[in-house]
Amino acid sequence: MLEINNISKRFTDKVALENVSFSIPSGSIYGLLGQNGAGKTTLIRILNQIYEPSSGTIKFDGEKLNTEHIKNIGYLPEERGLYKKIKVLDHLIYFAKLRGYDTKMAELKANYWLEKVKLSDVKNKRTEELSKGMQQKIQFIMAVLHEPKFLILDEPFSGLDPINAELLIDIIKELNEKGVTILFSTHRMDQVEKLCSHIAIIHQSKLIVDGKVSDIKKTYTLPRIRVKTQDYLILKDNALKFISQDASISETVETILEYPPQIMNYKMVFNILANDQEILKFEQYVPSVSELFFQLINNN
Amino acid sequence: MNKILTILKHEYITRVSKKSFILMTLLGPVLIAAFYGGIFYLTANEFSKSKELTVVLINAPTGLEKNISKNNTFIYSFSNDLEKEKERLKNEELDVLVRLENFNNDSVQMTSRSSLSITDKQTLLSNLETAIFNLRLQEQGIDKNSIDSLKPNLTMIDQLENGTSSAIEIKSGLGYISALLIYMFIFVYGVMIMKAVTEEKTNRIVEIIVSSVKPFELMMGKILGVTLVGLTQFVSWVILTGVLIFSVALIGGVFSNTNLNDMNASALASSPALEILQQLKSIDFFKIIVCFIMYFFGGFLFYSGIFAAIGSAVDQESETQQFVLPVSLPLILGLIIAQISVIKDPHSVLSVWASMVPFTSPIVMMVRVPFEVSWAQIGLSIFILTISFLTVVWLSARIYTIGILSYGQKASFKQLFKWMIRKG
Repeated sequence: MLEINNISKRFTDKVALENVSFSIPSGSIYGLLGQNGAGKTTLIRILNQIYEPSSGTIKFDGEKLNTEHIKNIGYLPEERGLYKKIKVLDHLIYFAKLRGYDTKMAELKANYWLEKVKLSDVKNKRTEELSKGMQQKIQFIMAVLHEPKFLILDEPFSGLDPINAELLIDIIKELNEKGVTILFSTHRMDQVEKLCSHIAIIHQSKLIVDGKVSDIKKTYTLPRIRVKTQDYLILKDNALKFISQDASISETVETILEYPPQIMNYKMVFNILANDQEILKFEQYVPSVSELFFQLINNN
Repeated sequence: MNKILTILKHEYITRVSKKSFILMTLLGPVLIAAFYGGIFYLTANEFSKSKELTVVLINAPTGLEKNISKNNTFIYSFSNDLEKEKERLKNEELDVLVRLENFNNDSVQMTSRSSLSITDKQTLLSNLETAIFNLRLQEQGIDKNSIDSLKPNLTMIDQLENGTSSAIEIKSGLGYISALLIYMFIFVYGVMIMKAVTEEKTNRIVEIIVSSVKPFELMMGKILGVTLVGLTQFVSWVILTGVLIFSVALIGGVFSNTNLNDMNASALASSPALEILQQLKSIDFFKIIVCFIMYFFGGFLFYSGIFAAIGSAVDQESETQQFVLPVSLPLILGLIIAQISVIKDPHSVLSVWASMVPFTSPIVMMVRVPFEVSWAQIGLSIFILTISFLTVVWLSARIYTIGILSYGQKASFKQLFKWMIRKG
């Protein structure tokens, strides 16, 4: 769907992106992660053609990204805003027209989406009369109204209560099932875990990792086991036979241990730990995206 | 182009459907009429009349009393006791004291309780001069009426070499009113554009818009939309004022048959109304209207580009104040040049130059146009204004593109200049 090749963006007084390259496969939900100021919003603005990159190229469906592609891109920016004095329906029609729809089609689409997010009854209200959550849903409609093939969502759940967040997750999944590729930028790692098949992490203007979440977990973390025994001290003694003295082991009867796969396997680890005591729990442990994120950021 | 049209329509419909717009459009002519009516009423009535002043003339020559004319402002009395009158002045029993002992040397000395107005001072001096002149005539045994009959009372019928009336007063008035309208339009609606841009930036909606349209399209759509809003209000005011005047005239019976029948031909021929009609005939209205439309749009588009760029550079509306004054200074300068130089000589070097420089030309040229300015000069001025307008819009769009998405930076002219000359 999208190929980002060596994109750099320099502003007068700072470098916002440096040689960033990764591909977003069609039909994926792609998580774009990074700390504040890492360069995520700059990259998103480049994809939206708000900014021109200083160097590098972007291909959209095999073609060089150009203004024609705007109609295929939907965008929910992090900074939200609506015209306060304008009615909800007029608002949506105006933005649909800016994306190329005629008035009749724009109205049809607006009504469909208002019903879908359960806001039909407020369509004739001014946006300033709506709650924050309702406004958030209106802005979400503005991003998807023109049926984009590629949808960029920057912190889509901020300000939403759990019920509305769940409603939005369902809609995002539904759109994705219909073939919409989604780029999803957030700080909420639990949602990345829940939704994203792929991630890219940007740190200090540079891309540090990208690809399938499962592949990244395999590549960047050592195999881990979650183990529970009756005696913490015996567990520690046994564990020190295959981990270094410096490694921290939590001082509880349940802990997570990494082992070097070059010299050991799952069975060997079990045999060592089971020496002199009964093992109550022994299972493979897959780190969360959140742990992965912290690990990679700290390593860089 | 379609997107500019969509934004234009959105701006236009949103603004003209506002209650405040409808109210101002309907009430505008009434308010203007009330304003001028109020001024007229106040000037013509008690409010503007100066209070009576008691003037004592000290050591006035014999016979002056008979020659001093009575009027509503000054009550004259005569005395030779300076000390006593000074005391009265101190005690607020009189307002002005004039010593006339040196009047033969063309010098009089005035002492007043508080400063007199310029008009009162001039009237007092004129009264004294007339009275002394008449007294001297009497002393010389010259009949005042014979002198008066010798004074010429000329009426100048001025016309141009092509035989039409020069109609200086009407031309000056027309030019100045047109310039004033352009000035007001640029200022009121230019600031409106600036506020609209800042508002879009402040409520953060702009990022969604610029992901669908180019900043240049957004800026042009906004400028043209607001221009049409202003034009709608302006045309509505002209029509409503016309209807208002017509209605008032109708009620007043100006157009009733009785009045026309009563008026005989000679009275009509010599009436001031006919004279004004003759003068109006000599004015090239086609030229004035064409120029008004050109300078109205040219001037507005030139300045609105600057206002839009400023609006995009600031985070809050309150920050715009520091920029508004420097931008409006050339406009004010244009009005001053129009008042001082153009009225004195519409073809002076300053007048010609100021009507070529795009910052002042919409104002200054409009005042000059009724005074037989050649089409070549007008053409050159419009050409410069058009080129300047296109340049300003291009430069403003550069500022706008960066400014509209920059938050938290203190906007300054230096910053604006950097954005304007940036590469890419």
